[in-house]
Amino acid sequence: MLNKLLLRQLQKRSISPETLPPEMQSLLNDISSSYEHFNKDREMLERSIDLTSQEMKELNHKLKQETLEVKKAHEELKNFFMNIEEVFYSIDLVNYKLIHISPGCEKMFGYSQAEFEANPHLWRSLILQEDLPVYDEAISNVLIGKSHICCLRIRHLNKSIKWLELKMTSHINASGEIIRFDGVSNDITGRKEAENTVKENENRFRSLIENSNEGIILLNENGECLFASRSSEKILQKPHDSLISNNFFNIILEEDLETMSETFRMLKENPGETFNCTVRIYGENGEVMWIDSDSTNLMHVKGIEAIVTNFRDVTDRINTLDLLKAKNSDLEKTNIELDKFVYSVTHDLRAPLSSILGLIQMVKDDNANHELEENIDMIHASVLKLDSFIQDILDYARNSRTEVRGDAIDFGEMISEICGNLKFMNRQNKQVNIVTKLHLTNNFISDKGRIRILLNNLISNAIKYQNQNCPDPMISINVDTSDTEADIVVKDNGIGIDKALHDKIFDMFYRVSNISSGNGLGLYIVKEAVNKLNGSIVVDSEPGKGTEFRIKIPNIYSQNSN
Amino acid sequence: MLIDDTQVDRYIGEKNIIKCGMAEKVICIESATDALKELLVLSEDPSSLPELILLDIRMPEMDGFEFLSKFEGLPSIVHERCPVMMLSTSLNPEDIKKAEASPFVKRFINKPLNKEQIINLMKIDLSPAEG
Repeated sequence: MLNKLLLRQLQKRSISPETLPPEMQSLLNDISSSYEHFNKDREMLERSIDLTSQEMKELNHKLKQETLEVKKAHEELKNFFMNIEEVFYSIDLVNYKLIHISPGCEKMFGYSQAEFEANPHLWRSLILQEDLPVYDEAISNVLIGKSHICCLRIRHLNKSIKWLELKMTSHINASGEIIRFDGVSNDITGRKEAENTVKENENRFRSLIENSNEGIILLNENGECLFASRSSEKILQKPHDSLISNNFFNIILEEDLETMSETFRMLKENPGETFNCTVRIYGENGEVMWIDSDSTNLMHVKGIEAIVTNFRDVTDRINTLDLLKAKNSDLEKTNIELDKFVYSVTHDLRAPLSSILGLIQMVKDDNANHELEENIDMIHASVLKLDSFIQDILDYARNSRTEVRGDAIDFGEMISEICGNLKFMNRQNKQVNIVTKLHLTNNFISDKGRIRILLNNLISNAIKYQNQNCPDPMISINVDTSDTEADIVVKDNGIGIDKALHDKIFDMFYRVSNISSGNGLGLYIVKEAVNKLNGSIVVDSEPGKGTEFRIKIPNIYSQNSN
Repeated sequence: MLIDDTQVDRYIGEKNIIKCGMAEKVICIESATDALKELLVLSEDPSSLPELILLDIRMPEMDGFEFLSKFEGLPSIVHERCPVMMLSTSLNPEDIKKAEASPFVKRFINKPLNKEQIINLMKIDLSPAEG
């Protein structure tokens, strides 16, 4: 079967293939089969061209879409670049030229992109003078290829100050040279202000802690110091280093260790509860200080995990307290003495009176005249005793109440007057030989009344307590005056006083002996008078040998002239 | 026995006691120490012990209360035979309380010791102290 196209050509020429010679018929068959081949090839080619063009079409479409996306992305990026608050910039280090800067610069600095591009030094000139070193350090880092982040302040065109955070990176070319750097600057003024507020608050709290009179320390469960406020250094008088990691048990007085241990035990057993304890510690110079503390176990609180102790120096308070206690006990003693005084006074005032009453009663009851004279003598003695006692009371009251006066003292005249009055003191006693030696170098000023009280008491004691077995009872009175003091010595060869009793003889109403009719007030009044005059008195005595009283009284004359 | 450091009071006491016929003899002693010594000596012959001790409180060296504490150390025959009466012008309630607390003290008498008081004393029972 011949190809259709070949058959049509043969028909046009009115040739019937069967009529053709066989050679022609064979040729025609070959042509027909070649044609068929060609046709097949063409069809294949056509189909393949068709396919390719389809693919091309699809690809083209895809490309178109991608281009659109890129365009959109670029648009977005541009938009982002134009509107972002951070400022991006690149600097060409070869020509030292600003390659580009993002438009955010206008808001951040107040200057336009064009202004930055025109003046390569504008950027640096906006940085605050004091922050320039920060910037220069950043640049020097970038120039050796390091990335750098720093914070610094700039002055905006409107004069406001802004905090910026700068991030800079450098770019290196193929041959290893740094050709440009890129930077982002970010306005962190708000963050900085918040930071500063936090810092200020912290500083405020810190200064509260540091400047408070209360010390604050944190201790671990063994008593080792983890933190000590500056005020603790002041209070404990110890440098910070010696406090930290030191164990507080080491600086506490041994006597108070038990108190401290007990407090620690309570703290450990009762987390969150506050315990007070007062202990003594050694100060810098070894002196003892009283520390009062309030501690709370905050081991369980995250971030603290310690025993928090507030403490204060209460040395002065405790010393004052002790002083008050001492004063109080003095007062109590005075009160007891006063009480005793009142009862003794009433007793001693009433005793002679009751004797008088008894005697009078007897005189009334008994009409026998021969005893009358004797009774009346005794009445007389009782009245004298009462009189002298009342005088002593008066001396005592005068001494304790009146201010010390300053009179010129004439010892010679005073002593002879006293001795004259005492001459008829007691008729039972022998006449006593009184020897007076005076060394009066200067004016001696003191309280006349009180000097008379003490001389009168000492001399009358020396007469009263004379030794009845002694053939020549005597008293020597020596007075030495100087610019600063008077040294008065009254010495006798009387009965003397046992050494064991020397401490007691100046006590109120203490009587050593019943040999004479003392009331136990005399030496007490002497001691009180000496104290009032800021003087001193010492006794030296031995039973059977005699007694010596030595008194030193300051000369007020010298005090006034100084 | 009358123990008192004041000579006038010893005199008054002795005179009045004898006048009232309370006792035939009064041992007058000036100090508590001497009284203790004397009682110790007398205890060797109990019949010579005083039937009553009149004791002053306020005396030098050893006062009435000290005497009472030492008195306890004397032979018990003394305690049996000699009741004690305190004699004082003291108005201190402490003194009176202390005196009444002593097992040996029968009475607290205010001075001066006059006839009426002695007559009253003669009426009360002076049987020996218990214990």
